[in-house]
Amino acid sequence: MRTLVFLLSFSLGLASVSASEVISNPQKGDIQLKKINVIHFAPDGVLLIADGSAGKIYALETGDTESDDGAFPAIAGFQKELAGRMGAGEADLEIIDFEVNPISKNLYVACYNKKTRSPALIRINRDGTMGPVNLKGVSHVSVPLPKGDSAPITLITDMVWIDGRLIAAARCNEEFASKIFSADGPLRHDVMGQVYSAETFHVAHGRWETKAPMSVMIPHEENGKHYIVGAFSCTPVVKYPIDAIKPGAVIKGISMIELGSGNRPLDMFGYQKDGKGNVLTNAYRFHHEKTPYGPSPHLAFRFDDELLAAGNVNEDATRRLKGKTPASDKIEIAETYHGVVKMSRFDSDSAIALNEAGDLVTIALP
Amino acid sequence: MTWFCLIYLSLLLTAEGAEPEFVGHNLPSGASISLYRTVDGKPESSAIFVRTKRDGRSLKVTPFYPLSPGEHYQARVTVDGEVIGSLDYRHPVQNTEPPVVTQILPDTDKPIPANLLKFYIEFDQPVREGSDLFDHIHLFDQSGNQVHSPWRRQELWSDDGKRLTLWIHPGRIKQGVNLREQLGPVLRPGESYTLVLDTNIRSPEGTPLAESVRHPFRTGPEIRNRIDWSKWTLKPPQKSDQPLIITSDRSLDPYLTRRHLRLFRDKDPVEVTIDWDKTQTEFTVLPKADWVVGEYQIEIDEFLEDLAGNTVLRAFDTDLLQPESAIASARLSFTFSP
Repeated sequence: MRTLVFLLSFSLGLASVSASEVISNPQKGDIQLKKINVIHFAPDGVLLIADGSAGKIYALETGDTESDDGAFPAIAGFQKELAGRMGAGEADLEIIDFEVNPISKNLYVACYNKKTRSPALIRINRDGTMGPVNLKGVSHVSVPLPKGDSAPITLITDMVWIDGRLIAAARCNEEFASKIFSADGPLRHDVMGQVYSAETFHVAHGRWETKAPMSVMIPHEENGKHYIVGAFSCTPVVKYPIDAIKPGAVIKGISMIELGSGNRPLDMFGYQKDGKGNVLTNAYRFHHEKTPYGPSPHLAFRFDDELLAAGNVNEDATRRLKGKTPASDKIEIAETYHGVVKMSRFDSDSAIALNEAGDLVTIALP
Repeated sequence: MTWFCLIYLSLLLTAEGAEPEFVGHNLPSGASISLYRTVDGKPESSAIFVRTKRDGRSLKVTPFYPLSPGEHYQARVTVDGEVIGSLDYRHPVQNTEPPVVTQILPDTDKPIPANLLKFYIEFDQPVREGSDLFDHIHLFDQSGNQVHSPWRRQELWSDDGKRLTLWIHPGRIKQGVNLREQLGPVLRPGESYTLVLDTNIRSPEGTPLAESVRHPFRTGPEIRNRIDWSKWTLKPPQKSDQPLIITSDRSLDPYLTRRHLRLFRDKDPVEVTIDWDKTQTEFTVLPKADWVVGEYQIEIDEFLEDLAGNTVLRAFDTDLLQPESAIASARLSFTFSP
């Protein structure tokens, strides 16, 4: 019998990194958002804001760097309250993304008023108060995305800060191809990164090889080596060594896990519990009507992160189901996360979630 | 408490459609102005986020985010917790025109491949966004039955918000993928379908389509091999104002063709406009400056796709058991010699 010992951990890239290693020579000025695709916290309170319509990723120094312990309040009717405070009806407001500031534990919410076609960024404080994030005369850098040339980016689906660089999953309106955008830190104003056509292949039946755009991604570290782990619609989980993301490279992902068809990933994060690494990803099950996995089309999967280091890959990737029967005790549906539309890890024990009723709740990590 | 001084609240609109400013005059210290969205005259939530500017005994309040057309608002002056005055306001609707669908691609009487990857739906104005949009776009087969869950529910809009790229779910196109095996393909060869946009599609302000839009089409065989551009034919221009006509053996994505087909003369890029016919097989290429006598070269890159997502480098699904032949190295060129 062969025993493999892997050292696994999910890197948040937060330790011993100063803002100067994230951004350099920030500008004072206004951030003019057209849309917000996704937000993500880099170290030291720097908020990354992706706006594919404007062709920019902004890195904003929030200054929100006071750490604080304690719980986050549940807010019943959060979506309605947030809409009202923006002057909109509840049905007119779409919550695009949200992210807990890992230092202050305040929640940042990206939303969009469908009637006025205007985006907004709101901070929800630990005491339950909320207010707009100021984007006028703020310290930031703006990283341009390729626009209008042969390989434009029009949408960022997710992004991470890993090993001193920004990596974003990107795509273009017209192409099915997956693109990976990478910019080395420290990010500099008006200095563009690189785009790679990440030929993210999905092999089925050992025969058919196709490409696909990535939905969500997280940073991952394994034996000192950095990876990004991405999840795709229908729902393979794939990892990529980031040292492969370099000019001229053909980036091929390694399929590690198959969570099952009919699901579209929405959010994903890693965490430690009881000395074991876990990954939680929530998804929209678009085949809920035909084949429900629970009471809601919004569901979540938890899996052991050791599966990301398994020797079984691609065609032999670990499957959650064999037919309709669970095939691995290392993958499960997280029952307490049924109905979760958005989620972001709050601390080592819990996540903040938006449920289908529009309430903001805190749920223990499974 | 009774206030004997003259306090009044005014509304200032600097221009039609501009965001309003609510100004309180002659206010005592400690006075504040709050703004609410109201339904039937009552606030629906806590006060709206505003910017406040004080100037002596005046307060000017402006909403932090744009107010929504057609919605009702109320500004309230409060002193020591007591509301001493209010002003109601309805934010005007600037655009009441219903959106019009100006084009849906592909738009041809000829059969389109059953593994079609996407439609382009174009409107004359931006329409209301949101993931529920996909609930208002339907696909019916030739028996009138609705095809279940045909779309990839990810909104992809052009920068001007007028063109939606509507993806048929790739999991039902890709061979060997569970979704296709369990539910079958969205489109089957040799059948007729109708794409329907219902009147719940609205302008951002809420005006619906004047009527539902029906877009019938027929399907042919799936196309699961690479674009072979050696099969293209060229009809060079005979006069300086005539276009080059490129005819492909299969329909191509017109927007990707416009972006990824380039014309060169002596390695110098030539700025061109590219248009297409209804079958999306015939493309006219016209330089913005006149043709110059001599040889031109045509290049396409790996991002150009046909209607099924096949490119010059690879088929949408590559069959690993049957590797394709080497990529055609044909270099297209022609000579302009009127």
